[in-house]
Amino acid sequence: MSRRPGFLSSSVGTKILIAITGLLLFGFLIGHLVGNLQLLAGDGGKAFNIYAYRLERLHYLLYAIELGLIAIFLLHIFKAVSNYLGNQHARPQAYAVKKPAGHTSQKSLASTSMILSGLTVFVFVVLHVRMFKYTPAEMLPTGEGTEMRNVYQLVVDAFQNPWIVGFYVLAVSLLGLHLSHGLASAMQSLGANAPGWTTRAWATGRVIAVVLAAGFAALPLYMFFAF
Amino acid sequence: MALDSKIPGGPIADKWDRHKFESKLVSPANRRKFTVIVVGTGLAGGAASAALGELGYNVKTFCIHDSPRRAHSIAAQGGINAAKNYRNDGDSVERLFYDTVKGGDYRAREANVYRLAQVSVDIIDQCVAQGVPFAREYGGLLDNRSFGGAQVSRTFYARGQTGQQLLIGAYQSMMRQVEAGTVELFPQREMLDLVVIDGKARGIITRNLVTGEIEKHWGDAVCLGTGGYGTAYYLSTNAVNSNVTAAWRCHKRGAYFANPCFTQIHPTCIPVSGDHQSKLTLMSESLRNDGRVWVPKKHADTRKPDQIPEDERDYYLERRYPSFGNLVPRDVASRAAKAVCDEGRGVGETGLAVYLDFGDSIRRLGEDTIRARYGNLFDMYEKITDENPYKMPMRIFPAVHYTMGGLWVDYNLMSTVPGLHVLGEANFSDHGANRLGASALMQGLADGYFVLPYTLAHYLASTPLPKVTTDHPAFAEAAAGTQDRINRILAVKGDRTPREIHRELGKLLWNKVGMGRTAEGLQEALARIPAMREEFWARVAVPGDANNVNKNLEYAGRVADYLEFAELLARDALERRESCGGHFREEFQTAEGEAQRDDEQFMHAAAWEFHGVGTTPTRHVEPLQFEHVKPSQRSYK
Amino acid sequence: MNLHLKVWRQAGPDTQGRLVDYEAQNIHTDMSFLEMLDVVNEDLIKKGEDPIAFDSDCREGICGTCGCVVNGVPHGPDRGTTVCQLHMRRFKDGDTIVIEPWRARAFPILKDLVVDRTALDKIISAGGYTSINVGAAPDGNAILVPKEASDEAMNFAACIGCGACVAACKNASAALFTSAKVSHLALLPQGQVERDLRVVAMVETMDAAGFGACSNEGECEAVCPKGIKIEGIARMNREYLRASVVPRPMPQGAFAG
Repeated sequence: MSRRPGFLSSSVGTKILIAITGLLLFGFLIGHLVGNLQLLAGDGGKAFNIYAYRLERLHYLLYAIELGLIAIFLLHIFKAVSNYLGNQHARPQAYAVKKPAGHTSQKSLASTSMILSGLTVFVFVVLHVRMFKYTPAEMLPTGEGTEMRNVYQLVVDAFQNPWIVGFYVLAVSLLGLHLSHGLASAMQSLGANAPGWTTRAWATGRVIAVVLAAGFAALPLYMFFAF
Repeated sequence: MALDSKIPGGPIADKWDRHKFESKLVSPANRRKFTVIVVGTGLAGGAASAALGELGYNVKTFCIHDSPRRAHSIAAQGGINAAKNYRNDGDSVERLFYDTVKGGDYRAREANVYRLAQVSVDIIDQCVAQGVPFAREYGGLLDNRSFGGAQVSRTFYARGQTGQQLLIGAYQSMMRQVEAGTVELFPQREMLDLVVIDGKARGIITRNLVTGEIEKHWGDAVCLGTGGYGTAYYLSTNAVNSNVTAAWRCHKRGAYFANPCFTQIHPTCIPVSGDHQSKLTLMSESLRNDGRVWVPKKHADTRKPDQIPEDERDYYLERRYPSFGNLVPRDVASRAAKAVCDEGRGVGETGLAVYLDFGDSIRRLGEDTIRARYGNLFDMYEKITDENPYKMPMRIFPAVHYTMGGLWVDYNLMSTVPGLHVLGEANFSDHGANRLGASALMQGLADGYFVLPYTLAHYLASTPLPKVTTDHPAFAEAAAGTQDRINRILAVKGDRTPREIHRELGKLLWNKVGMGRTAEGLQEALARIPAMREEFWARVAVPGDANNVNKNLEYAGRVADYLEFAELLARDALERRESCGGHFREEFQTAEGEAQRDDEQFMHAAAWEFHGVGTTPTRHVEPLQFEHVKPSQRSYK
Repeated sequence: MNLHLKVWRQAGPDTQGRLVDYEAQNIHTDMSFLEMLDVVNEDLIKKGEDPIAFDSDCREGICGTCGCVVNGVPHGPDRGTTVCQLHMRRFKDGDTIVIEPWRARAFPILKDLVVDRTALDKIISAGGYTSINVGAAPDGNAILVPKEASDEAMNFAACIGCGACVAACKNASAALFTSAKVSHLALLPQGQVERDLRVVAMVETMDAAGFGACSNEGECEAVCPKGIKIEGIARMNREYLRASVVPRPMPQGAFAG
C-alpha cells in the first residue's frame, strides 16, 4: 500500500489500519445480522438452515472468506493491542487526579474501554464459533438429495439456557459499546470528518451501534422467550 | 565619543538602495565561517535568525523561554502597517514615512523611518508566503483596516492575533533553519553579560535557566532583539518575563542608551483591580474605532453608566479633538484620560478609569457585527472583570505598553559597541517619542528580515575579526562577574521578596515618571531609587540555590537591573526639558494642555554613557535633522 | 477566601515528586489563578522556603507558556481558557485544589509544575513551515486565497503550543498540536507544494518524540484554550493517507534535509 516503510508502523498509519479492519468487520457484522434475521422467519428454521447450507456449499471460497475474516480480525486486534500498549508508555507517571474534560469531548465509557470491550468480544467470538460451527448437529434433507445441518435447532436449544442467553446479550452489548465509539472513531482515523461534523458523526455512530446490538440481542431473547 | 549615525548621503528615497549597493558583501562560501549570536526570538530576533540562517551564516540563537515561539511579540493584537496602498486611498511610502515621523513627534531619525516605510511592503509579501493567515476579503485579496488614527487603511491583520501569527511565521522560518543546521537554538538561556574583546562585541555570557550553569558563547557579532523595558514599571502590558537585563548589561559594557524617557502609555487597558495584580491587559486600540470614550460631567459621579443621561456625559476626546475624535494617537488619548481622572471625574471603584462605550455602535450596527469585530476582546474583558461589555461600557485606563527608547544604534542598527547590533523594540531609532499603532510589528520584522542581513554583512566583511575562543580572559572575567552577582543575591537572605521591591519601584516610576512628569517629582524619584537599590541588596530574599530552576533568582536579577536602569530613566526625563510624544513634562504644555516641544534645544536623541552604578552618566546628543517633514505642533484637532 | 492547595513538588527531572499541602489565604476573587500562586509563593519566599516553580509569561492567554492541571483538568475548569486567565471567582471558599504539571513522557518535568516542551518545537522543525527564503516572496496579493480557506487556516493557526492537548489525552498524544499546523498550511495555497512531505515528516517526528497515538476521544479539543477542533486531526490523517498512498513527486532536499 505504501511506498514508504514507515506507514504501517506510524501512529497515524496504525490508526488507519485499525479503522479499515474495523470497518470491514463492521461490514461482516451487518451481513451476519441480516443472515441471522432469518431465524425469525417463523418457518421452523427452514430458511435459516438453507442459508447456512448454501454458505457451506461455497467450499473453498468460504474457507478463503473465513481466513480473510480471521486475518482481518487478528490484524485489528494485534494493531489495537500493540497500539494500546505503546500508548501506556507515553505517560509513565499517572495524574493523582484526572477528570474527563466534558464540553465537546466524545470521551465515554465506550472510548475508555475499547480494549476491554474488544477483547471480550474476541473471547465471545471464539466460543460462539465453537458453539455453532463445530458442534455436531442433526442432519436434515435439503430436498435436493443432499443433507444439511439443522443449525436452527442448535440455536434454539442453546438459547433455552438462560446463562448462554445472558452471556450473549452481554457480549453483543459490549460489541455495541465498542462500536458506539469505534464507528465514528474509524471515520475520524480515515480522515472522513469535516468542520462541524464531529458531533453528528459520533451521534450517528452511536445510533448505528445501538441498532446493531439490539438486532443481535433480539435473537437469543426471542428464542428464549418464544420457545 | 561622538555619535555618528552613518546616514548615507543622497536623496532620502535613494538612501537605502544606495547604501545597500555601497555595503560590502560576504560571499556565499564565506558566510558559514562567521558565527552570529542572536539574543531574543521575538519578531526581530526570530526574523534575524531565520534570514541570517537562510543566507548561510552560522547562527546561535538564545531565548529565555522554553520555546522560541513565546516572545512577547506574540501578544500584539491589532495589526501591522505597510504602505501597499491596496485600498487605493492615497497611501504611499511617503505617507507612511510622514505619518510615522509626525506620530513620533519629530524625535525619530528621518532616514531610518523612510527605510522602514520602504521595506514595509516586502514584509507583507514575506509573511503571506510563509502562510500567515491574514484577514481576506471575499474576492481573496488581503483585507486592510484603518488603525491607530491613520487616515488611510494600511493595517494588515489576522483577527486579533496579528502579533502571534507574524511571530509564528518567523518562528517557523527559524525552525526550518534549525532543521537545516544553520541555526543552533539555545532556549532557556538568559543573557547576563556582553563580552567585549578589543573594543568589539565578541560573545555573551548566559545562564542556563534549567541547570543554572553559567555559559560562555563566542561569535563574530552579537545581535540583540530583547525588547523594551516597560516592565521596570512593574505593572505594564508586557509579559512578566520581559525585562531590561540584556540591554542594560550591554549598556554597562559601553552601549549608549538613548531616550529612555520615551515610554508609551497605552490608553486602552483594563484598569488595575488590586495589589495582587501581576500585569495589565491591553484591549486593542482597534476598539476605539467603534467605541466612544467618556466620563461623567459631574465630579465623583457614582451613578452606574446606564443611569447617566446623554447630556451629562463628557465625550472628552470628541470634544477636544473634533477631527480625530476617539482615534487620536495613544499619547494624546492617555494624557486626556489622566486629565479627566485628575479632575476627579474618573469612574469605577478607584476613580482611575474612563468608559469605552459601544452602546451607540451596537445600536447602529447590531451586536452581531460588534461581536464579529471584537468578540475575542470582549470575551477577554469579561473573563478578567466579570462584566459584560455588550451591556455595560468597558472601563479602561492607560498602562505602560511600549518603550520607544532603547540602545542607541546608527543607521546600520549597530550600537556604540562595534559588532553589537540592536533590533526591534530594544533599539531606539524609528518611533521617536511616540509609536503609532501597528508599527511595532513592522519595525521588528523590518530590522530582522530586511535591514540587518545587509548591514551585518557589511560589518563582517569590512572589520578585521581575529579568531577568538571562550578561553579568552575576557570571557572568564565576564563569567566570574556574572557568577559573583548571582552569589551576592543568594547571600543576602533578607526578608523582602523581589516582587515587593519591584512593585514599590513600579509605583514610584508610575507616579513620578509616568504620564505627567515634573522636575520636582523626577528629582524625588532620583533621590529614592538609590535607597531602594540599597534596600534590595540588604534585604532581598531568594531561597534555594543557583543550580536548578529558580525563577525567583532570575526575577531578583532582573529587579536588580531595573533598580539601576530606573535611575537613568528618571534622569533622562529630567534632562529633557520639553514635552514630546510619550514624555510629558507638566511644566511644558500649551495653553490647551498639549505637549509643548522645544525644538531649539531638544531636537535630538539623547544617548547616555554609563560610568558606574550610582555615578552620573554622560549625556551625548545626536542632533536630528528634519529635511522632509517640517516639524510643527502635532495637531489632531 | 481561603483555599487548600495540593501542589506537585519535584526538585528536578530525576527526583521523585509528591503532592504537598499549602494553604492559600486571603485570596481575592479578582485574582487570576497564577496570581493566587504568586501570593502563595510570596509567603514561601518570606519563610525562606523554595517557591513553587511554574511557567508563565504573557498572562493574557496568548503565549502558551503557562499550563498546569487543575483538579484533573488541564488549564482548569473554564473552557477556552489558559490557566493564567482562569480567575479565582471560579472557586469557593474552602475548596481544595489539586495542581499538577503536564504529564507525558515527551514532556519531562524540570521542576514542580515546569515541564520541557521542546518536543513540540521538534515537530515544527520537521516540516511546520513553507520553505520560503526572505526576499523571494511574490506580492501578497499575487495569489488569491478564498476567505473561507484563510479563515479556516486561521482557526488552526491559532494554536499557542501550550501542550494542554497532550496533557489531557489519555495517551499523551500530540495529534491535535501536530494537526493544527498541518491543517493551517494544507488549507493555504502557500502550503501546497510541500504538503505531502510535511505531514509525513511531522507525524514521524511526533511519534519519535514519545507521544502516544490519538484515540479520537476529543479531550484535547475540550481543553484547548484556543478551541482547535479535532476535525484537524481528521485532516492530518487524510493528508497522511494521501501522502502515503499517492505521493506526489518531491524534489530531493526539500525540508532542508
